[in-house]
Amino acid sequence: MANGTPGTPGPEAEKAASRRPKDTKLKQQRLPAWQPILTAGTVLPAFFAIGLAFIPLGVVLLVTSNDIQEYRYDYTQCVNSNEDKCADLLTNLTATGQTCTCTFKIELKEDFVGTVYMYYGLTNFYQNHRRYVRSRDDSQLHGYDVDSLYSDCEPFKTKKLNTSVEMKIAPCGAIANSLFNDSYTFVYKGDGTKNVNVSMLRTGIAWASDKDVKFGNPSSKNGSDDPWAGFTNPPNWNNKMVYQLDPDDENNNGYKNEDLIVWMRTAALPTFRKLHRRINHQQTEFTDGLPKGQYEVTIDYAYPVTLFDGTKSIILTTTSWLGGKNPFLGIAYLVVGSICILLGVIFLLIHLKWGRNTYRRQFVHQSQTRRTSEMINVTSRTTFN
Amino acid sequence: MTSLWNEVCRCFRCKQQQRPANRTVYVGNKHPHDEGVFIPELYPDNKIISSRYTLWNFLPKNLFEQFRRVANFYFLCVGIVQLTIDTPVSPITSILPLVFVITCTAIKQGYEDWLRHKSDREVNDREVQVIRDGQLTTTKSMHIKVGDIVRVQSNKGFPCDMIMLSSVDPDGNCYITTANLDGETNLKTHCCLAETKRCVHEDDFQKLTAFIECEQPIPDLYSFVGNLNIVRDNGERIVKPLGPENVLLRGARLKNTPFIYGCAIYTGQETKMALNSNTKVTKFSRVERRMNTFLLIFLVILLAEAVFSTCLKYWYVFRPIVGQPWYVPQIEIDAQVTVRRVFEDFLAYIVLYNYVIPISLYVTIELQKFVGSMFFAWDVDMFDPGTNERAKANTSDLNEELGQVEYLFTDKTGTLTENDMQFRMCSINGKRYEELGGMLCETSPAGNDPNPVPVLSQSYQHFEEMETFLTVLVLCHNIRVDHPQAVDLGASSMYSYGGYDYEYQASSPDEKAFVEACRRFGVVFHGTHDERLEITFKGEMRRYKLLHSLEFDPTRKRMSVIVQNENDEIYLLSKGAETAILDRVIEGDISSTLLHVNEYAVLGLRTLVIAMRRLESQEYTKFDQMLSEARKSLTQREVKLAEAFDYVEKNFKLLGATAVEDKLQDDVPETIQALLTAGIKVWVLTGDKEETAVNISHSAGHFSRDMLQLKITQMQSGLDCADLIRKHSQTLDNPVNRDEKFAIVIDGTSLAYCLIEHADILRDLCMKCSAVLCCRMTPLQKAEVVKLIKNSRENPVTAAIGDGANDVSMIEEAHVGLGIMGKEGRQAVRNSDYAFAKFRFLMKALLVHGHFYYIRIANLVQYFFYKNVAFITAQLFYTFFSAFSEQTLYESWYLMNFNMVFTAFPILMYGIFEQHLKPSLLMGNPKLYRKISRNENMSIHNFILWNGSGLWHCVVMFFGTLFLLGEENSLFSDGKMIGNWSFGSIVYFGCLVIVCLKLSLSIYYWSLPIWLSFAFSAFSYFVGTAVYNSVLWPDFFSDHNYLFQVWNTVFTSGGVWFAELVLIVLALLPDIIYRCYKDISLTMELGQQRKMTYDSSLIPLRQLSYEETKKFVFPYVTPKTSLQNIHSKENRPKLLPAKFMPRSLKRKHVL
Repeated sequence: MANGTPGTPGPEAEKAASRRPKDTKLKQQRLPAWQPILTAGTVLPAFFAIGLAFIPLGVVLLVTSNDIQEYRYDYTQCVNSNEDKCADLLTNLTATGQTCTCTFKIELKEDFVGTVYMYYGLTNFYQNHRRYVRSRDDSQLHGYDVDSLYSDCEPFKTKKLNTSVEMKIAPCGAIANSLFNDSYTFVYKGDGTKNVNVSMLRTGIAWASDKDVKFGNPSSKNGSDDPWAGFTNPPNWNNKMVYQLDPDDENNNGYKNEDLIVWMRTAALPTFRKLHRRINHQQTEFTDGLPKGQYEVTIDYAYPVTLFDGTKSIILTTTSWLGGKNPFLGIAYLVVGSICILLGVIFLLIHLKWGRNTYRRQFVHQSQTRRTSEMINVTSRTTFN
Repeated sequence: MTSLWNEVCRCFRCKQQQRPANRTVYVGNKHPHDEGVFIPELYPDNKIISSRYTLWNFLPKNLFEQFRRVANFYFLCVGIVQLTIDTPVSPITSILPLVFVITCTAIKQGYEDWLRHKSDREVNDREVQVIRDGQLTTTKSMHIKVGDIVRVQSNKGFPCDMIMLSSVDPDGNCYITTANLDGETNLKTHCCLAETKRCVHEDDFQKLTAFIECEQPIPDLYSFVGNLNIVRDNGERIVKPLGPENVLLRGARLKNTPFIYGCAIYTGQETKMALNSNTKVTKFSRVERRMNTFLLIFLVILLAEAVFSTCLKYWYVFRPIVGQPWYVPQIEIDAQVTVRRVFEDFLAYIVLYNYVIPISLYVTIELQKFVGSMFFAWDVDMFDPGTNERAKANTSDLNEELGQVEYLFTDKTGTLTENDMQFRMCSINGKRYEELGGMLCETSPAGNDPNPVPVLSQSYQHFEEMETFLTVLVLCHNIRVDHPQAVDLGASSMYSYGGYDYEYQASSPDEKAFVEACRRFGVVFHGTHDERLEITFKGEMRRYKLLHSLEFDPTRKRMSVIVQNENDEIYLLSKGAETAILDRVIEGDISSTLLHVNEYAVLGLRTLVIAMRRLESQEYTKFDQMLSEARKSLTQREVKLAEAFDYVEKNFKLLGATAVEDKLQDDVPETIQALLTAGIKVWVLTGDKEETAVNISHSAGHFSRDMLQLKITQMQSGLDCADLIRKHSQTLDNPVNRDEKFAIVIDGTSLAYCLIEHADILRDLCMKCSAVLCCRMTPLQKAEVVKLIKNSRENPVTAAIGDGANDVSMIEEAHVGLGIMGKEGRQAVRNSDYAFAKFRFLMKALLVHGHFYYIRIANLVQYFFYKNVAFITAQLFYTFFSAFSEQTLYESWYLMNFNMVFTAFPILMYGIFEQHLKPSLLMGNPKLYRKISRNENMSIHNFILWNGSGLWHCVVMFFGTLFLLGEENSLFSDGKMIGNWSFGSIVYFGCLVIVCLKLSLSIYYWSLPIWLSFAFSAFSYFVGTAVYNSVLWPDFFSDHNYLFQVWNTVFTSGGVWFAELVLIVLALLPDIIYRCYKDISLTMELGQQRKMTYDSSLIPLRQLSYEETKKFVFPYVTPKTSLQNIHSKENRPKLLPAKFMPRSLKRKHVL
């Protein structure tokens, strides 16, 4: 009868341990924290600092950009020796083997000092078209022995040679099919007296990672086999096979051909340029760059662009440590720097006019409630978080 | 096998006819022999299933439930679309995040369900003792069947609802605590019928043949109607009524009784506890609703963008001037416009812009709320050591709604007040008395000279009436006496001379106050022994046989007992509200008692009127018959009981009235003042009398002295109400009163008239008033008032706070239901959304927690939409530069990880830990609460601000990068060019950094988790992307290695870094300025607020002392001793020199 008496509610359950929550920093939401507060006083120095850093930087960037020499020539409407526009001759895409050679003179107004790069530029060419971008087979380009090509290569996946034979295309896809195929020769004329062929390098124009890893040629299975056997070329390649892209340089042939690699890196915007050649500065005349004067350019005009309202240009340019000529960065830094200085001045005015009197002043705020009667100092430095 | 059969039956039951109104339960599953064919009724087994899933159905059921959510279903659709159409981005970019989100939620729900399974199993596998075949066998709780005789031992919970058959206690009583059911901690006495109380051994039940007729289970915990039919061996049947006092409910626990036997009547899902669960209505917070609006807006934007882009695409294709881009494969198909192709293009754009709908929003919010709500319970400031209760968040869905409260409806008793009653004054036969220093003293009518003479002596002229009065007080109740030492000593009961060792266990605090007051006056209640109530009157023992106890009910508003004194005289002793008693009085000083009652009410005291009646024996016999008939009847028992009560509760002799003080809780005026300053309108809704309520309103600071009081009370018709309302409205609108503040008092009956036809004008009037007090309210009316405001044009957020069962309806009705863990049980707490022990905790709950929760979630939601705008709008821009060909700007890796990984954690940590202001500052400046009222941070204005900044950030990053490239400039000193994936990477990196920095500009509280989350974001982006783009993934993993070495290469360019830096600074300049503006203006405001003098209404009120109240409202009652000192230790009454005197020496009993 130990519990037989009606008494106080049994001690075992009700006398339970205190349910008081633990007084830890986490549970009481009092984790130590940095509580920054942005007042005119605190952001002033930051704005001035940014402004003072950005404006000189902008000047440097602008000067760097302006030091770069660039020459651009739009040759879309160039004419051949018969005074026919090459563009008009290329209206029919299937007119293969038709060559049209343009020759014209360009003049560099000043010496191009340093390494000179030659680009071709295209406009209104949507390399970033969705169906275009994905129309490639990365496995094939890597050199894997692929049995079936990636379906996105359609309709440039296979080619019917005749009614019965259908061969896989190497490299498949629309990007490869539309490989840019104009070729250029430059002859330095100086002031008209000289006649030096400008030799240009076909390598060193593609990303190292592409050249070394992403693109690779297929290896023959057992030494004797031709790895290219069973493949044909893309329809637009004028009977050129992929292993004929640079027969002189084994390391620049096939999928590892840098012209192909450069082309395969699809451009972001419809107006783009691609690095095509590096000037060979080993040549005695060009060790310091390209001297000013006239150059005769001969172009094998093969790539049709007028069909889609595009243009073609050649670009000769030097580079700086930042790349090509573009005043944008410099201007951006100058503008943002100036804005910051301006804001700094405005905040300084605010600070001088109102800051000191009102929120700089220390004041003690006695909280109304008994429970939170701690003192709270609100100043510009302390936070009110 | 049987359970399977039951399962099948349960499945078919839905098709069955309505069940009979009553069920017949055969005790011990022995049916009487005389019945013909015995068809057992089918009842569910005693298995408790609170879990929602089983191992087998978890996957399909959970998936189904998750995909019922619109957002998840939407993303599922997008995923399916991506699998079927010619998709611009890999389907994995939307399927993987969806799988992630679904898995997260499934894991959370699975875990919760596992916990439920565990607790279910624990309950179901609990061992119970059941009599089967005359043997006491141990079985699992879930195997109990209806009709089983169960033996329950001390401190064990009851496994099912059962009828008590016998107890080891010779009186047939047992003691239980229902703390788990309704939170009442006092022990309750339940009893068995005399006919079965001898069966204390398992063999005894062999001889017992009985069946129980009772109603089918209903959720009401406090009502039960049934009969016990005992079939004697000779075939004779005895029918005995069963009431709630014979029922032991699952959830309750046996205390202080070695064991009892009971017969299971309701099992499993049919127990009253099970019927009471899962009836909660789901509430949606304002933030969530606005968020859904935002989602809808973005869905429209998404559709508009997709339609727009599709249109542009076809415009582009059919432009007149330009020829075919021959290099694009299958360019001719673009020109073939079919409905199917247009639709596919449209879907492709949807897929592309899809990220504008933030997929991880829901899962982040769920996590944020889940973790965030823990802080509520963890808060030491909201822990009450007195009751050992910490705050409780029953839901996490409404966290932020705590920061949005505009109207607070509060109960009075137990919420504003302690519900700890102290006897103060009484009026006996037209004379006023008050308790001073533990003694009852006569209040001098002059008012200036209180008469401190102790009146409780026989020499006193009014001794006789006083003796009667006190005897009624000490007898008319349902109190049980506990002697704490009795348990230790093993005695069934113990006497205590002065009674100071006794602990009175009362369900009504008023009764407890009476008995304790009487104890101080030397009239001690010793408890019930041998069915007799024993009291000592100044040391003299008197015994009364308790014949009947007529319980309190809210319609009768009175409670009575019928006792028989030692001279075999029968008396009805009654106490109740003055309205419930006075019109039944035939004898006594009604007018002065009524006057006194009103005086007490003005002082804010709770009043009860005391009356008695002598019953002649034939009268009693008739009543006894009526009552037992009523108690036996299965139908209309309530009505019949009421009739019986009505028969006997009349022709009273009025003895007097009592006044009990219900002290205000700590800091109530401060809390209410703070809430008012915070812009919350406080309405007091109480069932109490007008005078009492007005007084409490004054002392609680709800009404202030400079307020003009308007009244809508005691109206007789709707027309009168309307007239009065219009009159009051005119007063309010009168320009003379422009600077006045108004308080309005409405009573229940008038409100009922108003609500029928004139709800609108009443609402308008009330909403213009500064303070509203509704008195004499029924629980349902409380809910109606809440509804009235809730449905007003402004659609304000309402909160209701209360502690009792009568507040449940308003708690459920309001947007946020707040429960006070008070003395009136757990019902309010169980039905509330948030609960805490004291009213003053409301201040921290709203001003700090609510404010934090709101800021966190509102900014979280805004930020989610913002970051996706900042991220994906570039895609829209890029469409213009990619021939509208649906080409993606960002590689799949970027798309997939943006929401899931790279930006996931900082915002989650922000949502959990952010504190934009110090808690102390929020407590000290309640005005700050107004800054977030009406969903300010999620207003359309702020929505535009956030997303406008998102647009700006995206414009800066996209076009900045565009200008950086110019005509695709080289970014390297060796003249090499980048492609479209590099372009996307540059834009992406900028957007990512800006999005993170934008968040950091919103953070005011840089705690460690925030730093870590940013570190994780940076780490995952840099390391993850570096690894991802360094590997030439095999075919099956990704179709293209678009990103191969792109990231590694492009970020070696100095120009890219320079561009990112300047673009990020440019993009964030407006945000920095905005943050400065906000910080500076807040600093200034807080500074100025300090200097500002408060207007008079904002001066915190303190609770008025009784002297002040009296001077203020009732100038002629001014006792010198402060009433509040009465119960201090020094004033404890000395034991009066009293002895157990021989009866013959005593005066004749008054009763």
